[in-house]
Amino acid sequence: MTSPSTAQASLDEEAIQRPRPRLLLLAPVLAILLIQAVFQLLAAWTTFRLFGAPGRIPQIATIFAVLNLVATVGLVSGRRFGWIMAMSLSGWNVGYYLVLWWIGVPFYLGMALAALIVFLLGSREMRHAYRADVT
Amino acid sequence: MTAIDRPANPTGDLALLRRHEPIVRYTQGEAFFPMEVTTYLAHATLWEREPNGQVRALAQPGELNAVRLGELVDDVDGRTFLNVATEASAADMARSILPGQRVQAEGFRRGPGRLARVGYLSRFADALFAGSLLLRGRVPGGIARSSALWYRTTAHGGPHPYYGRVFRDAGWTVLQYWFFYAFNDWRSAFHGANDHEADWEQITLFLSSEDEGEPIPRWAAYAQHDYHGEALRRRWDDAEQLQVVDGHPVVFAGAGSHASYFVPGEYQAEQELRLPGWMHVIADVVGRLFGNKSDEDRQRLLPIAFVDYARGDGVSIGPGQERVWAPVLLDQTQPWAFEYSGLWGVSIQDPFEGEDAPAGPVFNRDGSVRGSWFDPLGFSGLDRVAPPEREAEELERRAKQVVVEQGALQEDIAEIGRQLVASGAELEAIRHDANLQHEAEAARVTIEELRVRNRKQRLALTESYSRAEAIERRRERIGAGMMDAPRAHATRIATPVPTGSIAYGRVLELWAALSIGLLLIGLVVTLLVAPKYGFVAATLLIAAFIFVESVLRGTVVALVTTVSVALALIASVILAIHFWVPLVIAGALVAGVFVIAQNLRELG
Repeated sequence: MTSPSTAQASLDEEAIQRPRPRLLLLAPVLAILLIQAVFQLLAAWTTFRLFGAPGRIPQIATIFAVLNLVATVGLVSGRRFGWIMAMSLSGWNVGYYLVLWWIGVPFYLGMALAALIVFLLGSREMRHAYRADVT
Repeated sequence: MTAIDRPANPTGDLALLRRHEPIVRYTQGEAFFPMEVTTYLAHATLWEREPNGQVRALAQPGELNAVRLGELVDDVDGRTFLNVATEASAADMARSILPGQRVQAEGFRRGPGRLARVGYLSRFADALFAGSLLLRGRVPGGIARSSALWYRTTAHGGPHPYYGRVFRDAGWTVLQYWFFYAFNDWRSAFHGANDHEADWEQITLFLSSEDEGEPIPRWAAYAQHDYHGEALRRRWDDAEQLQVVDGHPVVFAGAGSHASYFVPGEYQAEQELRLPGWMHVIADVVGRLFGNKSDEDRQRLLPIAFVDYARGDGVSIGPGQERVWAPVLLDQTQPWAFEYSGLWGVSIQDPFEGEDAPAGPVFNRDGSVRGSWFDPLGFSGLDRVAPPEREAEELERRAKQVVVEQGALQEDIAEIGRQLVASGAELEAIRHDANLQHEAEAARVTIEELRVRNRKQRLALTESYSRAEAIERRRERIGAGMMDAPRAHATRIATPVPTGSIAYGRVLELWAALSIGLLLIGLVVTLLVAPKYGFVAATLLIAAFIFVESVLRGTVVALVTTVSVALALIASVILAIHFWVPLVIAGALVAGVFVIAQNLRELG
């Protein structure tokens, strides 16, 4: 019987063998994830706010920034976990920005970028490349 | 042919029925087996539901028999039904559930839970379905148990008849085998969709013969849930789908439901809640954009899953089995079949009819004649199929017709051609004459009409050549003894759920059983304890339940994708509404730049 870790490893190996997504799809995702990580850190530990972006609790913002970086590395190296992390973070971000909009403090730029990443990651090509089309 | 069959040779027909009578294999735990209608009638009460809704007894137990049943309903206005089962006494009920004393599902081993096979929405729909039983009326559980007790004490161990019918139509000899059961306890004993008193099931065999010789079985059709027409039948030589033992087809009967299956296994029967069309449209669009589901799956929004266990690991009845048939020829000597169109079993007046008893072999519940009775070929989609011995002959006849059609088309095309040339010549002659412009215009119209006709007839001729070639190829195939694939006639057939795909963990099964109830309780508690944050708390609670479910199913990735995409779609709508002016301007600018770039590329 295959252990979970072995199964995961084989999934990741298969992901590497699959065709990589076009740069047109991947580059914006990577760029936005990186920019998000940087500006989250800035917003957490300094008074800098990009276009009036809302601040977060510094420790939580740091965790999100690190997760963004890990997801970026995962995507660059063609790993399935990178796609899952990126999609989870972006989904979470969209939800977060929707709540902000609901309570009257919208941050439309963040909402648009997060939604854009979700759509790019959700495209057939990206899901196929990162084996996110199998359960 | 009228509803009453008058076979020319009853002895020969009975012998033919016996030659191919089925072997029916039941599932361990089955409580009811085919029984004589006369035994049932001897213990039954006959009721009439009058047009004003009043119910009155027309005959008491002991007063009915196969002949008197028809006589009693002869001038009755209301709908009639029979009834044997009554609520069991408390003592009998208690006794019937003691170990070793069980009368239902004794020895039955439940398969992986049906609730674990579907998601929350379907489980919720299932709860609604279960609740609807309270409103629309259902057969009380006690009746199922008392029926099982009655059957065990009265009819168990008696003969097992099938009611056989022989019907000849369009070169086919049709053998129908009808089985009568005292009760269908699919829901109460096997977690199925319904219970009803009495049950009629049937299978049909289709035979044909060369030169009046011995009829040879060609097809078998079994009545099944959710399937009709071609999907009901299998070819006699389809060994993968139809087991045949010494000329006897094997039937695997569903536990409690007695539905007939070709292959042993667990069948997932689904009922779909009716939802508004726009919900299907949205699901279809989202599914196409972001999902991997098939067209059919996308349309099934809230399927309620029921499992029909047809394992064939219990009692077997048939030639060479531990129990054998006591056949009865279903002809004019059985007046109960033709003269009584009422229900065989208690009438619950269920608007969906699932819990109502069935009518007999000849009739539907509404008193009309069953399609499977008056048109067995059409019922199984065989009405457009010639017996194998006659197919070549039919093709030859058709090929001759096609040749005649081609001749007529060729003549027509030649005539149109002549008219075209003549009209063209005339047009050339008059079109420069200023006085004849009206005639010239009329000639142009005529030419255009002739051209349309010409194209149409030439296309028809080309298609006719292709048809003739296809017929010829088919004739050659038949001549060479080549056969179609065994299941080429049906696009969708009942197949058991593969064992591997229903291997759910115990935790998931437990969760599936508890989740909807826990969620409803949790929502109520949340609203009572913290009404101010009720919406947020309820949302978080539902999200937590969905997450737990996806973890247990190993579908976290699919969940994350679905939720993220849904939220992103909502966000997109908000952004589009808020920024529609800049978006329109940006769109126009981009389009402008694109058009300029395209045009410049053409220049360069």
